[in-house]
Amino acid sequence: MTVVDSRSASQVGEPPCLPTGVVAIRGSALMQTKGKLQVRSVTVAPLSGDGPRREIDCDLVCVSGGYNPCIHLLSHLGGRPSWDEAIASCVIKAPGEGVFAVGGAAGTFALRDCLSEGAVAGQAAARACGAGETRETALPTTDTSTAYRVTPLWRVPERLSKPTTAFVDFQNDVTVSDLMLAAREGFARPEHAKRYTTLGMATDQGKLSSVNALGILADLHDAAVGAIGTTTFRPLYSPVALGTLAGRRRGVALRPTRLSAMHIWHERSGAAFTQAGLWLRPYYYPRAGESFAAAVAREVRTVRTGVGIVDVSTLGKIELKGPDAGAFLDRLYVNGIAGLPKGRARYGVMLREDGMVFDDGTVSRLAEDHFFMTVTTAKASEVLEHMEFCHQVHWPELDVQFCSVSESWAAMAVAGPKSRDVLARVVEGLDLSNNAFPRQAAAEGRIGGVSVRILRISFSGELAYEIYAPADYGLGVWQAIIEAGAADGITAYGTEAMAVMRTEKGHVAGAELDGRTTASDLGLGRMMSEKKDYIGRWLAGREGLVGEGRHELVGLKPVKHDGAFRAGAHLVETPSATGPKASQGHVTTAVYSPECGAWIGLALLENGRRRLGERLYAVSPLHGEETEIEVTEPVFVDAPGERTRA
Amino acid sequence: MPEAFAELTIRERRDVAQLQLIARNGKAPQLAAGIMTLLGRRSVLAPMEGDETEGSFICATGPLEYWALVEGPKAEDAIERIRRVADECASLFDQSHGRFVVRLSGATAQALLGKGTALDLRQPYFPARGGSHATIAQVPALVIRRESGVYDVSAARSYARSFVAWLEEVARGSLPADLTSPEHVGHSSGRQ
Repeated sequence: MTVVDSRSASQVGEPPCLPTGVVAIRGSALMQTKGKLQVRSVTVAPLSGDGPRREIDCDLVCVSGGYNPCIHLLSHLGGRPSWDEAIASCVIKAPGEGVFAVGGAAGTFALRDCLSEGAVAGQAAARACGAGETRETALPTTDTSTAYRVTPLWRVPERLSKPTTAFVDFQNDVTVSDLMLAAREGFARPEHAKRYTTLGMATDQGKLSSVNALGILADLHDAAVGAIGTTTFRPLYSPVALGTLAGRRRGVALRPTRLSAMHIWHERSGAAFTQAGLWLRPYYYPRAGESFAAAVAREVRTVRTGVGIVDVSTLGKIELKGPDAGAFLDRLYVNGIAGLPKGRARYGVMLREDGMVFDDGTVSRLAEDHFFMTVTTAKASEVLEHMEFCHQVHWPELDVQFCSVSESWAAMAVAGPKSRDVLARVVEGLDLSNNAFPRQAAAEGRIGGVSVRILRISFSGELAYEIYAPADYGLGVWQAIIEAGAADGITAYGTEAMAVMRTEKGHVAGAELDGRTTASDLGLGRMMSEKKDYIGRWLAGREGLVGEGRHELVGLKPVKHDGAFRAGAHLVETPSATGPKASQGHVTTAVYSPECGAWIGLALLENGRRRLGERLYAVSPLHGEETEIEVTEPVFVDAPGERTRA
Repeated sequence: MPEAFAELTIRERRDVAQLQLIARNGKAPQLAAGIMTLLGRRSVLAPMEGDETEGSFICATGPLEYWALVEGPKAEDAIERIRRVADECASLFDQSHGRFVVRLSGATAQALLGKGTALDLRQPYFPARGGSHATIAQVPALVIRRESGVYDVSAARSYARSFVAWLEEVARGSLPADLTSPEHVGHSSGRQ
């Protein structure tokens, strides 16, 4: 074993007695290490530069730089480190009221001094805790010959060793040259250099490197270490596994799960579930031996030809009351709401302040001063926050009160040409005939004696009704409708069938409401009232959001009938076109449509509405896929909308 | 159940009607006075303060907002009285179906709740008959301290399964053994 000591013989004084076989080389330092995957040898040379270099074979190098006070806990308590030249390290001189640091924590390393400090601090602590007189305690006898001295070597001089390979932080591989670069770039203060280089950010949190870095940075500025500042130690002292911090928040316990009032029915009916935010929603209801695709196709066909029911309890629901509720909604939605007659529902679109589409949903007027809104599952809380902001900041003069009632109402949509017949068997107190309860009607009725809100609105494109039941009765109402529809073969359908049908109808959803689209992009421009002001109206008309080059909503179908494509695919003119500039848009939604007997999709395509009939390629380089597609109108089923009026 | 939760009782409270009252523009003083009269108090409720009378507990839960929990054989009468107070000065929203209520009582109820919320539940900061909206174990909830060591938690119903799972898991787990300070000792209704 060889001990290489950077101190000269005169600095060390009386050399310690070394064990037999241990060689000491004084006034020298390691200039280089050699080896791959493991050290094989080191090069040692005098720090004075005078004298030969020598290579020593070895398989292990240990480095010691003297003691550093363990000031972390004091630092956590708010103490500021300061530089102590005598021990070439940081200490905390004023640890704060009620805190007493002694020994190594205070930068005192000699045993006798540690014992002495401990006795004094112990007495002070006792007095601080209310103890009366304390008495001196005799200290044990200790060896006083080993006073602590340190002669720092912050780095091997540049003329002897390359700074690019002189590592300071062994964990994050920060070298002397990295610190030199940080200093040149103006990140010379320790707090800045740390962030510039990542020095001290590894699991040792600078225990091995920070003091050396302080010395190097001070040298680079030809300043005293104490003048350039120090870093601050923060918890934790020891590395803590992320798993420990996560605790029980793992797997399904990562976050809570939200379940609708009908969840138990879905479970018992063998639904496959999907996550929608925190919600767990029925994805599809497979029958024995039925594949995903077959189950979804069956559910869609049943709704298109008969009747189906879907749980839409996850929709955000907001209730508004007050004489100015209509005026308030008028300012939120692009289309008129204040004039909505009692007993009617309306589709509405909201913009953000910047003119982009924020959310969509429905508004129903239950009374002159009473409205019921539904918003998308994803934006439920954001919309409520937006409304609070608008009311409290923009229009506090409006007399309107509102709150979330999302949890209060279980919601279900009954859709299909037989939906009216089925509901007519269970709904009491409401005439559901087309004349008495036309499209976009809203009224209260009863199912099984429970008061429910019924809206005749459709997301599927079929004759459809949304039923809102008090959540405690949601399961009962759901079951009552299922029983009433049994003779007509009613089927529960999941979110995938719902997605297929909304795509067939060209209805926009989250994939299209991505925060970058305007109402005009989505084909909803005609809804934007010119008779009133509303959030986002003026910025929706700014340069860049109108005119040439906007990505507009279109439909897609494969040129070859059996062709398929996927959401996220880019639309390019030739399959060989590559790079971001080649992309003229992207596929937002792609589904297999049982009604069309082929894959269909929605896309946002540059100047899309003028390119109907054009042929492009949907390419997904990630999946190695390219499919020739034709640009179409976004509505694939019942374009005139006759089914919803049936 | 470990020693730390030996005197803890968790019980679901059914048939609790919940009403949210929001003052109409300029009518907050009128609403506050109406609730004060309803509760038979001499002063209006301060923020986070609650009080009860004849089966209804009403708490000031936010600017212009009050939350009422109503139960018992005279609940309908109590609801009607609240409706009358709200009639001219507030909008009333029925939240009964959107929430579930659990009561935690016992010496360690506060410690258990404290594991899931950033609310400072200690007596000076969360006095008896106090209430506040909060999140507990990431679940939106209204926390009400009915009396020392007795808490009602009214949480959004869709979270019920997760919330109860969290309660059970934390109650089964271990807490530091120093939960014996007077602050942690309440009037337990005993094990059920």
